[in-house]
Amino acid sequence: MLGETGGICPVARCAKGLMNGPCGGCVEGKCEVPVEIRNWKGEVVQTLKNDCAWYLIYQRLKELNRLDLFRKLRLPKNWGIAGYPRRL
Amino acid sequence: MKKAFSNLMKAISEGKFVYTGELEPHRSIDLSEVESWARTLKEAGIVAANVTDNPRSDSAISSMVASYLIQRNTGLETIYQLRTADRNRLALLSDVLGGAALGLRNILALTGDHTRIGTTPSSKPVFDLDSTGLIALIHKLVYEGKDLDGNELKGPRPEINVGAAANPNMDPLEIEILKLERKAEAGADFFQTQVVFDVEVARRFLREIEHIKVPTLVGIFPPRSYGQAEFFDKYVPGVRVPKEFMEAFARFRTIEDKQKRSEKINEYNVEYFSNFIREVKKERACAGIHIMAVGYPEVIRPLMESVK
Repeated sequence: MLGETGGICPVARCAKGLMNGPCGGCVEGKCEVPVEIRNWKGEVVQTLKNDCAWYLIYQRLKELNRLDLFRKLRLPKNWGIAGYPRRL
Repeated sequence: MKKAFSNLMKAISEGKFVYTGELEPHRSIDLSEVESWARTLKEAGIVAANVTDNPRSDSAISSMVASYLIQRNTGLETIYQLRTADRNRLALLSDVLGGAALGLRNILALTGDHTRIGTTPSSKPVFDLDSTGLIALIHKLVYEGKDLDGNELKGPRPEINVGAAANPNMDPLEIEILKLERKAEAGADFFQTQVVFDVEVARRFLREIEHIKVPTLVGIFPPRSYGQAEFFDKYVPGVRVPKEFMEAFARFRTIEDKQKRSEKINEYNVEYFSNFIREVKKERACAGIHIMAVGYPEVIRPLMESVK
Protein backbone atom coordinates (compact mmCIF):
# COMPACT_ATOMS: atom_id res chain seq x y z
CA MET A 1 0.00 0.00 0.00
CA LEU A 2 2.71 2.51 1.00
CA GLY A 3 4.37 2.03 -2.36
CA GLU A 4 1.22 3.33 -4.01
CA THR A 5 0.57 6.22 -1.63
CA GLY A 6 3.88 8.03 -1.73
CA GLY A 7 4.99 6.51 1.57
CA ILE A 8 2.10 8.15 3.48
CA CYS A 9 -0.09 5.63 5.31
CA PRO A 10 -3.84 6.25 4.88
CA VAL A 11 -4.74 3.54 7.40
CA ALA A 12 -2.77 5.20 10.19
CA ARG A 13 -3.11 8.86 9.22
CA CYS A 14 -6.64 9.19 7.78
CA ALA A 15 -9.26 9.53 10.55
CA LYS A 16 -11.41 7.05 8.63
CA GLY A 17 -8.58 4.87 7.33
CA LEU A 18 -9.99 5.25 3.81
CA MET A 19 -8.70 3.36 0.78
CA ASN A 20 -10.09 5.83 -1.78
CA GLY A 21 -9.77 9.26 -0.19
CA PRO A 22 -9.95 12.10 0.38
CA CYS A 23 -13.53 12.22 1.64
CA GLY A 24 -15.85 15.21 1.68
CA GLY A 25 -14.49 16.16 5.09
CA CYS A 26 -11.21 17.40 3.57
CA VAL A 27 -11.25 21.20 3.71
CA GLU A 28 -8.27 23.15 2.40
CA GLY A 29 -6.09 20.12 3.00
CA LYS A 30 -7.25 19.67 6.59
CA CYS A 31 -9.31 16.86 8.15
CA GLU A 32 -12.84 17.46 9.50
CA VAL A 33 -11.97 15.48 12.63
CA PRO A 34 -9.90 17.60 15.03
CA VAL A 35 -7.12 16.14 17.14
CA GLU A 36 -7.89 16.78 20.79
CA ILE A 37 -5.10 16.92 23.34
CA ARG A 38 -6.47 15.95 26.76
CA ASN A 39 -5.10 16.27 30.27
CA TRP A 40 -5.09 13.46 32.86
CA LYS A 41 -8.71 14.26 33.78
CA GLY A 42 -9.74 13.70 30.17
CA GLU A 43 -10.48 17.38 29.57
CA VAL A 44 -9.62 18.88 26.18
CA VAL A 45 -6.77 21.34 26.62
CA GLN A 46 -5.92 21.92 22.98
CA THR A 47 -7.62 21.29 19.64
CA LEU A 48 -5.49 20.88 16.56
CA LYS A 49 -6.35 20.72 12.88
CA ASN A 50 -4.82 17.63 11.36
CA ASP A 51 -3.58 17.38 7.78
CA CYS A 52 -5.79 15.27 5.52
CA ALA A 53 -3.69 12.17 4.78
CA TRP A 54 -5.18 11.77 1.29
CA TYR A 55 -4.46 15.42 0.48
CA LEU A 56 -0.82 14.80 1.41
CA ILE A 57 -0.85 11.63 -0.72
CA TYR A 58 -2.24 13.61 -3.68
CA GLN A 59 0.43 16.30 -3.32
CA ARG A 60 3.24 13.77 -3.01
CA LEU A 61 2.13 11.66 -5.98
CA LYS A 62 1.62 14.78 -8.10
CA GLU A 63 5.16 15.84 -7.25
CA LEU A 64 6.39 12.39 -8.31
CA ASN A 65 4.31 12.59 -11.49
CA ARG A 66 2.46 9.42 -10.41
CA LEU A 67 -1.16 10.54 -10.22
CA ASP A 68 -1.98 7.26 -11.97
CA LEU A 69 -1.45 5.67 -8.55
CA PHE A 70 -3.79 8.18 -6.92
CA ARG A 71 -6.42 7.44 -9.55
CA LYS A 72 -6.20 3.69 -8.94
CA LEU A 73 -9.37 2.05 -7.60
CA ARG A 74 -8.57 0.26 -4.34
CA LEU A 75 -10.89 -2.49 -3.20
CA PRO A 76 -11.55 -2.80 0.54
CA LYS A 77 -8.69 -3.92 2.73
CA ASN A 78 -8.57 -7.52 3.92
CA TRP A 79 -9.06 -7.16 7.69
CA GLY A 80 -9.19 -10.96 7.99
CA ILE A 81 -5.42 -11.03 8.25
CA ALA A 82 -5.25 -8.14 10.73
CA GLY A 83 -6.57 -7.85 14.26
CA TYR A 84 -6.01 -6.76 17.83
CA PRO A 85 -3.05 -8.18 19.78
CA ARG A 86 -5.35 -9.95 22.31
CA ARG A 87 -2.36 -11.40 24.11
CA LEU A 88 0.50 -9.68 25.81
CA MET B 1 -24.33 -2.85 -20.53
CA LYS B 2 -25.69 -0.97 -17.54
CA LYS B 3 -29.36 -1.53 -16.72
CA ALA B 4 -31.93 1.04 -15.63
CA PHE B 5 -34.08 -0.34 -12.83
CA SER B 6 -35.42 2.77 -11.16
CA ASN B 7 -37.76 5.44 -12.53
CA LEU B 8 -34.88 7.87 -12.08
CA MET B 9 -32.46 5.88 -14.24
CA LYS B 10 -35.16 5.04 -16.80
CA ALA B 11 -35.96 8.75 -17.20
CA ILE B 12 -32.26 9.59 -17.56
CA SER B 13 -31.78 6.79 -20.12
CA GLU B 14 -34.72 8.17 -22.13
CA GLY B 15 -32.87 11.48 -22.28
CA LYS B 16 -35.26 13.36 -20.00
CA PHE B 17 -33.91 16.23 -17.90
CA VAL B 18 -34.70 15.07 -14.36
CA TYR B 19 -35.21 16.67 -10.99
CA THR B 20 -34.56 14.97 -7.67
CA GLY B 21 -35.37 16.28 -4.20
CA GLU B 22 -34.13 15.69 -0.69
CA LEU B 23 -35.95 14.57 2.44
CA GLU B 24 -34.37 14.55 5.87
CA PRO B 25 -36.15 12.37 8.43
CA HIS B 26 -35.55 13.34 12.05
CA ARG B 27 -34.51 11.52 15.19
CA SER B 28 -38.11 10.38 15.53
CA ILE B 29 -40.46 7.56 14.61
CA ASP B 30 -42.95 10.09 13.23
CA LEU B 31 -42.56 10.53 9.48
CA SER B 32 -45.74 12.54 8.88
CA GLU B 33 -43.98 15.85 8.20
CA VAL B 34 -41.43 14.27 5.84
CA GLU B 35 -44.23 12.44 4.05
CA SER B 36 -46.14 15.68 3.55
CA TRP B 37 -42.99 17.21 1.99
CA ALA B 38 -42.66 14.11 -0.20
CA ARG B 39 -46.23 14.61 -1.47
CA THR B 40 -45.43 18.22 -2.40
CA LEU B 41 -42.32 17.06 -4.28
CA LYS B 42 -44.28 14.41 -6.13
CA GLU B 43 -46.99 16.88 -7.15
CA ALA B 44 -44.29 19.24 -8.43
CA GLY B 45 -42.97 16.51 -10.75
CA ILE B 46 -39.82 15.42 -8.94
CA VAL B 47 -38.84 11.96 -10.23
CA ALA B 48 -37.26 10.72 -6.97
CA ALA B 49 -36.08 12.05 -3.62
CA ASN B 50 -33.04 11.26 -1.52
CA VAL B 51 -33.70 10.13 2.01
CA THR B 52 -30.76 11.11 4.16
CA ASP B 53 -28.84 8.70 6.38
CA ASN B 54 -27.71 10.34 9.63
CA PRO B 55 -26.37 13.49 7.92
CA ARG B 56 -23.44 15.16 9.77
CA SER B 57 -23.51 12.00 11.95
CA ASP B 58 -26.57 13.39 13.73
CA SER B 59 -28.61 10.36 14.70
CA ALA B 60 -31.95 9.82 12.94
CA ILE B 61 -34.38 7.05 12.04
CA SER B 62 -33.06 4.33 9.69
CA SER B 63 -32.90 5.71 6.16
CA MET B 64 -33.89 2.33 4.74
CA VAL B 65 -37.10 2.22 6.75
CA ALA B 66 -37.84 5.89 6.02
CA SER B 67 -37.15 5.37 2.28
CA TYR B 68 -39.50 2.40 2.21
CA LEU B 69 -42.32 4.06 4.17
CA ILE B 70 -42.13 7.29 2.15
CA GLN B 71 -42.18 5.34 -1.12
CA ARG B 72 -45.08 3.15 0.04
CA ASN B 73 -47.19 5.90 1.61
CA THR B 74 -46.69 8.69 -0.93
CA GLY B 75 -45.82 6.88 -4.17
CA LEU B 76 -42.70 9.03 -4.62
CA GLU B 77 -39.66 6.97 -5.61
CA THR B 78 -36.86 7.28 -3.08
CA ILE B 79 -33.08 7.31 -3.33
CA TYR B 80 -31.97 5.42 -0.26
CA GLN B 81 -28.83 7.11 1.06
CA LEU B 82 -26.52 4.56 2.58
CA ARG B 83 -23.40 5.60 4.47
CA THR B 84 -20.61 3.11 4.84
CA ALA B 85 -19.72 4.80 8.13
CA ASP B 86 -20.52 2.67 11.16
CA ARG B 87 -21.52 -0.42 9.22
CA ASN B 88 -19.02 -3.05 8.18
CA ARG B 89 -19.31 -4.97 4.90
CA LEU B 90 -21.49 -7.64 6.48
CA ALA B 91 -24.01 -5.05 7.70
CA LEU B 92 -23.85 -3.16 4.39
CA LEU B 93 -24.56 -6.33 2.42
CA SER B 94 -27.59 -7.06 4.63
CA ASP B 95 -28.84 -3.49 4.17
CA VAL B 96 -28.44 -3.54 0.39
CA LEU B 97 -30.33 -6.83 0.12
CA GLY B 98 -32.95 -5.65 2.63
CA GLY B 99 -33.49 -2.41 0.72
CA ALA B 100 -33.79 -4.25 -2.59
CA ALA B 101 -36.30 -6.71 -1.08
CA LEU B 102 -38.39 -3.74 0.08
CA GLY B 103 -38.52 -2.42 -3.49
CA LEU B 104 -35.95 0.36 -3.19
CA ARG B 105 -34.38 0.84 -6.61
CA ASN B 106 -31.80 3.58 -5.97
CA ILE B 107 -28.99 3.73 -3.46
CA LEU B 108 -26.73 6.74 -3.05
CA ALA B 109 -23.44 5.36 -1.74
CA LEU B 110 -21.77 7.72 0.74
CA THR B 111 -18.87 7.39 3.12
CA GLY B 112 -20.47 9.59 5.76
CA ASP B 113 -19.16 11.98 8.37
CA HIS B 114 -17.06 10.83 11.29
CA THR B 115 -19.03 10.08 14.48
CA ARG B 116 -16.75 12.47 16.35
CA ILE B 117 -18.49 15.50 14.84
CA GLY B 118 -22.06 14.27 15.40
CA THR B 119 -24.48 13.57 18.22
CA THR B 120 -22.81 10.34 19.38
CA PRO B 121 -19.11 11.22 19.65
CA SER B 122 -18.59 8.39 22.14
CA SER B 123 -19.27 5.75 19.41
CA LYS B 124 -16.63 3.37 18.15
CA PRO B 125 -16.21 4.51 14.53
CA VAL B 126 -16.36 1.95 11.71
CA PHE B 127 -15.01 2.62 8.23
CA ASP B 128 -14.68 -0.84 6.72
CA LEU B 129 -15.66 0.20 3.17
CA ASP B 130 -15.63 3.68 1.72
CA SER B 131 -18.24 4.94 -0.76
CA THR B 132 -16.21 3.57 -3.69
CA GLY B 133 -16.05 0.15 -1.98
CA LEU B 134 -19.84 0.18 -1.48
CA ILE B 135 -20.39 1.04 -5.16
CA ALA B 136 -18.16 -1.94 -6.05
CA LEU B 137 -20.13 -4.19 -3.68
CA ILE B 138 -23.51 -3.17 -5.13
CA HIS B 139 -22.23 -3.51 -8.69
CA LYS B 140 -21.01 -7.02 -7.96
CA LEU B 141 -24.32 -8.02 -6.35
CA VAL B 142 -26.36 -6.63 -9.24
CA TYR B 143 -24.25 -7.87 -12.16
CA GLU B 144 -22.53 -10.99 -10.80
CA GLY B 145 -24.80 -12.08 -7.95
CA LYS B 146 -21.82 -12.23 -5.58
CA ASP B 147 -20.49 -10.24 -2.65
CA LEU B 148 -16.96 -8.86 -2.37
CA ASP B 149 -15.68 -12.12 -0.85
CA GLY B 150 -17.17 -14.12 -3.73
CA ASN B 151 -20.11 -15.59 -1.79
CA GLU B 152 -23.01 -16.26 -4.15
CA LEU B 153 -26.54 -14.96 -3.67
CA LYS B 154 -29.48 -17.33 -3.66
CA GLY B 155 -32.32 -16.49 -6.04
CA PRO B 156 -32.74 -13.32 -8.08
CA ARG B 157 -30.20 -10.53 -8.05
CA PRO B 158 -31.07 -7.16 -6.51
CA GLU B 159 -32.30 -4.52 -8.98
CA ILE B 160 -30.59 -1.39 -7.83
CA ASN B 161 -29.06 1.65 -9.47
CA VAL B 162 -26.21 3.09 -7.51
CA GLY B 163 -25.33 6.76 -7.32
CA ALA B 164 -22.34 8.59 -5.92
CA ALA B 165 -21.70 12.03 -4.52
CA ALA B 166 -19.51 14.57 -6.31
CA ASN B 167 -18.06 17.83 -5.07
CA PRO B 168 -17.61 20.59 -7.69
CA ASN B 169 -16.22 22.86 -4.96
CA MET B 170 -13.14 20.70 -4.26
CA ASP B 171 -9.90 22.63 -4.50
CA PRO B 172 -7.94 21.53 -6.49
CA LEU B 173 -10.68 20.14 -8.69
CA GLU B 174 -8.26 17.56 -10.10
CA ILE B 175 -8.60 15.50 -6.90
CA GLU B 176 -12.36 15.27 -7.39
CA ILE B 177 -12.08 14.33 -11.07
CA LEU B 178 -9.72 11.45 -10.24
CA LYS B 179 -12.03 10.30 -7.43
CA LEU B 180 -15.03 10.34 -9.79
CA GLU B 181 -13.10 8.31 -12.36
CA ARG B 182 -12.59 5.71 -9.61
CA LYS B 183 -16.27 5.77 -8.66
CA ALA B 184 -17.26 5.33 -12.32
CA GLU B 185 -14.87 2.40 -12.64
CA ALA B 186 -16.40 0.84 -9.50
CA GLY B 187 -19.82 1.00 -11.21
CA ALA B 188 -21.59 4.28 -10.37
CA ASP B 189 -24.74 4.80 -12.47
CA PHE B 190 -25.22 8.48 -11.65
CA PHE B 191 -23.63 11.35 -9.74
CA GLN B 192 -25.34 13.91 -7.52
CA THR B 193 -23.28 16.94 -6.64
CA GLN B 194 -22.83 19.01 -3.52
CA VAL B 195 -24.49 22.40 -3.43
CA VAL B 196 -23.37 24.89 -6.09
CA PHE B 197 -24.51 28.52 -6.27
CA ASP B 198 -22.11 29.82 -8.86
CA VAL B 199 -22.96 28.85 -12.44
CA GLU B 200 -19.30 29.18 -13.48
CA VAL B 201 -18.24 26.60 -10.86
CA ALA B 202 -20.92 24.20 -12.09
CA ARG B 203 -20.01 24.72 -15.76
CA ARG B 204 -16.29 24.17 -15.21
CA PHE B 205 -16.99 21.00 -13.23
CA LEU B 206 -19.41 19.57 -15.80
CA ARG B 207 -16.90 20.13 -18.60
CA GLU B 208 -14.11 18.49 -16.63
CA ILE B 209 -16.16 15.32 -16.00
CA GLU B 210 -17.65 14.98 -19.48
CA HIS B 211 -15.16 12.21 -20.38
CA ILE B 212 -16.35 10.07 -17.43
CA LYS B 213 -19.76 9.71 -19.14
CA VAL B 214 -21.79 9.31 -15.96
CA PRO B 215 -25.06 11.28 -15.93
CA THR B 216 -24.75 14.05 -13.34
CA LEU B 217 -27.36 15.92 -11.34
CA VAL B 218 -26.17 19.30 -10.14
CA GLY B 219 -27.08 20.12 -6.53
CA ILE B 220 -28.73 23.41 -5.65
CA PHE B 221 -30.06 24.73 -2.35
CA PRO B 222 -32.52 27.62 -2.56
CA PRO B 223 -32.21 29.17 0.91
CA ARG B 224 -35.36 30.32 2.69
CA SER B 225 -33.62 32.96 4.81
CA TYR B 226 -30.52 35.16 4.99
CA GLY B 227 -29.22 32.89 7.75
CA GLN B 228 -29.28 29.82 5.50
CA ALA B 229 -27.53 31.64 2.65
CA GLU B 230 -24.92 32.97 5.06
CA PHE B 231 -24.39 29.49 6.45
CA PHE B 232 -23.41 28.21 2.99
CA ASP B 233 -21.27 31.22 2.25
CA LYS B 234 -19.34 31.14 5.51
CA TYR B 235 -19.39 27.64 6.89
CA VAL B 236 -19.80 25.10 4.10
CA PRO B 237 -16.36 24.19 2.77
CA GLY B 238 -15.64 25.51 -0.68
CA VAL B 239 -19.16 26.78 -1.37
CA ARG B 240 -19.03 30.30 -2.73
CA VAL B 241 -22.28 32.24 -2.78
CA PRO B 242 -22.13 35.09 -5.33
CA LYS B 243 -22.00 38.58 -3.81
CA GLU B 244 -25.20 39.77 -5.49
CA PHE B 245 -27.05 36.79 -4.03
CA MET B 246 -25.94 37.63 -0.47
CA GLU B 247 -26.74 41.32 -1.02
CA ALA B 248 -30.25 40.50 -2.17
CA PHE B 249 -30.86 38.32 0.88
CA ALA B 250 -29.47 41.05 3.14
CA ARG B 251 -32.09 43.42 1.64
CA PHE B 252 -34.89 40.90 2.23
CA ARG B 253 -33.86 40.60 5.85
CA THR B 254 -34.93 44.18 6.45
CA ILE B 255 -38.53 43.53 5.30
CA GLU B 256 -40.53 43.35 8.51
CA ASP B 257 -43.70 41.72 7.22
CA LYS B 258 -43.00 37.98 7.34
CA GLN B 259 -45.39 37.14 4.51
CA LYS B 260 -43.92 39.79 2.20
CA ARG B 261 -40.38 38.74 3.10
CA SER B 262 -40.93 35.13 2.18
CA GLU B 263 -42.72 36.13 -1.04
CA LYS B 264 -39.69 38.21 -2.04
CA ILE B 265 -37.31 35.36 -1.15
CA ASN B 266 -39.37 32.85 -3.14
CA GLU B 267 -39.45 35.17 -6.14
CA TYR B 268 -35.70 35.73 -6.02
CA ASN B 269 -34.91 32.03 -5.61
CA VAL B 270 -37.11 31.12 -8.57
CA GLU B 271 -35.53 33.77 -10.77
CA TYR B 272 -31.93 33.08 -9.72
CA PHE B 273 -32.06 29.31 -9.86
CA SER B 274 -34.14 29.09 -13.04
CA ASN B 275 -31.40 31.10 -14.80
CA PHE B 276 -28.82 28.82 -13.20
CA ILE B 277 -30.64 25.68 -14.38
CA ARG B 278 -31.09 27.02 -17.94
CA GLU B 279 -27.34 27.58 -18.13
CA VAL B 280 -26.15 24.23 -16.71
CA LYS B 281 -28.76 22.35 -18.77
CA LYS B 282 -26.73 23.28 -21.87
CA GLU B 283 -23.80 21.16 -20.67
CA ARG B 284 -23.66 17.61 -22.02
CA ALA B 285 -22.75 16.00 -18.67
CA CYS B 286 -25.76 17.55 -16.92
CA ALA B 287 -28.64 15.07 -16.69
CA GLY B 288 -30.68 17.03 -14.20
CA ILE B 289 -30.88 18.99 -10.99
CA HIS B 290 -30.87 17.81 -7.41
CA ILE B 291 -32.87 20.34 -5.38
CA MET B 292 -31.90 20.18 -1.72
CA ALA B 293 -34.65 22.44 -0.43
CA VAL B 294 -35.00 20.57 2.85
CA GLY B 295 -38.10 21.83 4.65
CA TYR B 296 -38.84 24.29 1.80
CA PRO B 297 -40.78 22.19 -0.71
CA GLU B 298 -43.08 25.03 -1.85
CA VAL B 299 -40.27 26.60 -3.94
CA ILE B 300 -39.85 23.52 -6.13
CA ARG B 301 -42.93 23.65 -8.34
CA PRO B 302 -42.62 27.36 -9.32
CA LEU B 303 -38.91 26.81 -9.93
CA MET B 304 -39.43 23.81 -12.21
CA GLU B 305 -42.27 25.55 -14.05
CA SER B 306 -40.23 28.67 -14.70
CA VAL B 307 -37.46 26.62 -16.36
CA LYS B 308 -39.82 24.94 -18.83
